[in-house]
Amino acid sequence: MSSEPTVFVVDDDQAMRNSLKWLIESVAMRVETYASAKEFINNHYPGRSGCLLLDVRMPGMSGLELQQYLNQQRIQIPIIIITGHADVPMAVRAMKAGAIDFIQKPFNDESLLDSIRNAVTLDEKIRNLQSHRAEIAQRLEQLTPRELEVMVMVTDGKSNKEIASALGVSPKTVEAHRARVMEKMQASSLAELVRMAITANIDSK
Amino acid sequence: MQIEPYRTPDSNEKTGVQKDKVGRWVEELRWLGRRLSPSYILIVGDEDEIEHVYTSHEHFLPITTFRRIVEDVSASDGSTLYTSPSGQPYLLVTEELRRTDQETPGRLILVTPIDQAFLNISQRGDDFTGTILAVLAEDGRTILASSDDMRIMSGTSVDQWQDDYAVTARKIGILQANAAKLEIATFVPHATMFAISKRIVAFERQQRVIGALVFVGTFTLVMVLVSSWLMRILRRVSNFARRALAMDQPVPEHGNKLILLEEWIRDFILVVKRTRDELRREHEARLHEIRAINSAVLKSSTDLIITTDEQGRISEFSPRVEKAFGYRREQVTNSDLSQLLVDKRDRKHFKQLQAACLKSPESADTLSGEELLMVRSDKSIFPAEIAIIPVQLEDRRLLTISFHDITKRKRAEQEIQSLARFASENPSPVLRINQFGSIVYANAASQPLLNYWAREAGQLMPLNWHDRVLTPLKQGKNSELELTYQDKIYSLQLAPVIEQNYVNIYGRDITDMRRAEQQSRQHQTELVHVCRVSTMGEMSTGLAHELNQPLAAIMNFANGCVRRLDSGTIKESDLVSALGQITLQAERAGQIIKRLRNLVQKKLPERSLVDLNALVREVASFVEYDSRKMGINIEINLTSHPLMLKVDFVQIEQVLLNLVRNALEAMQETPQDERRLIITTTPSEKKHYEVTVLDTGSGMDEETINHLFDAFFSTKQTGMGMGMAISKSIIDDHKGTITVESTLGEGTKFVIALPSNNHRE
Repeated sequence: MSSEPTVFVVDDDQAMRNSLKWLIESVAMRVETYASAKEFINNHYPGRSGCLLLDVRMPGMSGLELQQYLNQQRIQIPIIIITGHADVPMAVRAMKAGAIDFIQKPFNDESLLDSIRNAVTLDEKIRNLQSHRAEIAQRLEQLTPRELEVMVMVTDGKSNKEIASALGVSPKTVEAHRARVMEKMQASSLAELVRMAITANIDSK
Repeated sequence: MQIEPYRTPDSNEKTGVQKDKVGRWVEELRWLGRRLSPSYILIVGDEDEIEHVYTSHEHFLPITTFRRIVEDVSASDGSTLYTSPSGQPYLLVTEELRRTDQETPGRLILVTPIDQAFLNISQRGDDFTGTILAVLAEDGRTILASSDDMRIMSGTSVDQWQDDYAVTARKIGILQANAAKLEIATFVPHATMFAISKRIVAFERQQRVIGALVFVGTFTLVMVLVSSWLMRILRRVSNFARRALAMDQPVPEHGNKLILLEEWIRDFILVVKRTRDELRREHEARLHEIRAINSAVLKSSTDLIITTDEQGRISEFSPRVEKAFGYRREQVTNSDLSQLLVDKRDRKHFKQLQAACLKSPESADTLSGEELLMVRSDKSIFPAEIAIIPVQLEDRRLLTISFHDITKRKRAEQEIQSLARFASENPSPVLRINQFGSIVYANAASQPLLNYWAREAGQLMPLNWHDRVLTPLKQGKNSELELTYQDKIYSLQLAPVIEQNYVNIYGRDITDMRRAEQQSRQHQTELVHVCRVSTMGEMSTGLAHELNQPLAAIMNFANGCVRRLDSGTIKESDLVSALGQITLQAERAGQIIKRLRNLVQKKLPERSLVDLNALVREVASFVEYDSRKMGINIEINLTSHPLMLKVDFVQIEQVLLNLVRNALEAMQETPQDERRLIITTTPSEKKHYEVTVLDTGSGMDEETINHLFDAFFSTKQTGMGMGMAISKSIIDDHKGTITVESTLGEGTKFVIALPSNNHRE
């Protein structure tokens, strides 16, 4: 599912691009460099895992503007902002807009690499969660409306009897529905089913 | 008397006695109520012949007696008294008789006996009893008839009755015109006399007693009235004295005041005298005091005071007069004031004033305020203000004249007048505006200003100038204005004169000064510009960024090498390449540092409230010289209202100046008629104010635009490549933005947006 994570570097300064690539590749990570935000947008397709290393000061579209653009496009990728030492206000703005970290130039290689690792892990988690959520959604689609009702009530903590009286059927029927729900949702226990319900954000409504 | 003819039947018997034929008219007499009636009535003819005799008497007298009666009557004048031989007296009354039947007049004779009845009747009304009247014979003794024959018999003598009666006798004329007199005696019995005398005595005593009582009563009343009147007066006098003199009077509240009066009056008079003396002393003292004060006033007064009589002769004067006029007292006294002390030019005028004061009514006001020329003994002349006060004495009028030397005042007035010319002689405009905005005064030099306002002195200022000029008056502070008119610049100093509600305007032609100022300012600006460019502190942000780039790159390469060496996964060729990169970046950093050799300390930003439009105007004025040289007229489109910003105006000016200079330089290749430079200010909607600098110069390609704001990026041969970088950092510092649009060969547009002052609040 998840391809090998890549660190995307966007910086207008060639030396910066090259040096970053050299540094990050030293920890056996894939690096792709772009000279401008425009270039990145044109060559990047959503769904690639990894993180974005972004210089705020760039001619044309600035780092912040790119961040904004990505937010608007709902492209989720963890962003690490690289700033000059006097650009703290700008960094704050970037953090507010959702950047996970910012690093001042010239930077300590360890902290940069840590930051990159954290970002990649976070990206992986988000991607896993998203794929898990998609899986659950897929399973939920297999349920009949009645089975979905039963599942909602079960995950709501109601007993078979209560469900039976609420739906106007016999407890035995409820029992049957419940077994089918567990099967279709591939849940090994009630607790797992409840977790799935929470992940899929289903509630009694 | 006219009676009906009466004839006896026997006409022959002419003198016949007709006893029984008493005429009816006789009866009528009786009927008339007469008590007394004639006993006989005789009608006598012209010749004294008895024609008729009428009688009601039974007792008839012999005809001879009648004849004698007629004789007696004829002899007498009218009525008479006849005494018969028997001693009986008769009263005869005769009257002319005009008869209708006979031509001749006749006479009527009435014969009445004086007897008891007659006397009784005559005595009627006399109530004294016992009084008896009697008719006496001619001898005055024999009684012919009495009113009471029973007591006093006729024929007796009066002397016979002297013992019993008091006898009085008097003659009574029977008729007024008749000489015949009847002597009548009154017999009053002694007893009656005595009684009467007793009654009279008693009456007299009674009258005397009453008289005495009336006298006493009247006297007492008068005395009471008089005394009460006196008392009242006394009380009033004493009250008055008590009040007026505060002196106890000896008159007691009750009791007899008269007793003490004399003594008290003496005291009173004494007190009055004493009081009068005291008053006189007081009055004299006061007079003395007043005189002393007056003389002190006279002596101390700076005015010269002279008193003259009606002829204008000096009678009295204050001591200063001697000194002021240079005369001695005896020279002045009694000489004519106008001749001695008044200059001959004003002599006539002074005499008129004097005359007016003497003529005017008693309560005439003081005549003052007149100015005269006075002359001293040494013939020197000085001006004086005079006041004439008429003083009315009992028999004459004096004039008190005070002279006030006004030489100093005159001199001061002249000085003020000469000072007043100061303003009019001033070569700079001097004006005075009153509180209503009216031009009260304008000297000759203010003509250009008046032309500018299109006004003349005396008119109101133009409306838009009202507030400008009158605000200093309201605030009470001086202020300054500038105006340009016909290539001349005037500085107007507005100086309010608060207490008189004026604003004085002192104008000054500052054209030359302003020109010089502008030039020096331009030089200064250029100097500042150079300074700013080399002031590296201003660009530390950009510089740090620039320096950071190679440093960061070096660190990354180095760290990458270290990690690879640590893990042993490095190829030698890669290492060499990385180290080459490091060298390259280090060189880059070195270059930057070389170019920043002249680093200057960063200046702290100074922010002040300024109008963006003013900044634009100023910047435009800075480059006016250059732009004119290039044949470019800078077009300025500014908002009508000020756009207030809180900025470091030197910095913003610096940015604008940079842009404008660049624009001018960019148009050097542009054909002259296409060169345009437009500066526009607009309030943008986001609470930012924008200033746009648009030129029709060469424009920029994309590469240039991309690196426009980078430090050390320059398209100019001589430039350091810092101008735009600094501009950007300045605008960033002000939380503004600077953007550029440019098309190669067409021109460039820079837009600077700065947060408005409102927005910041």
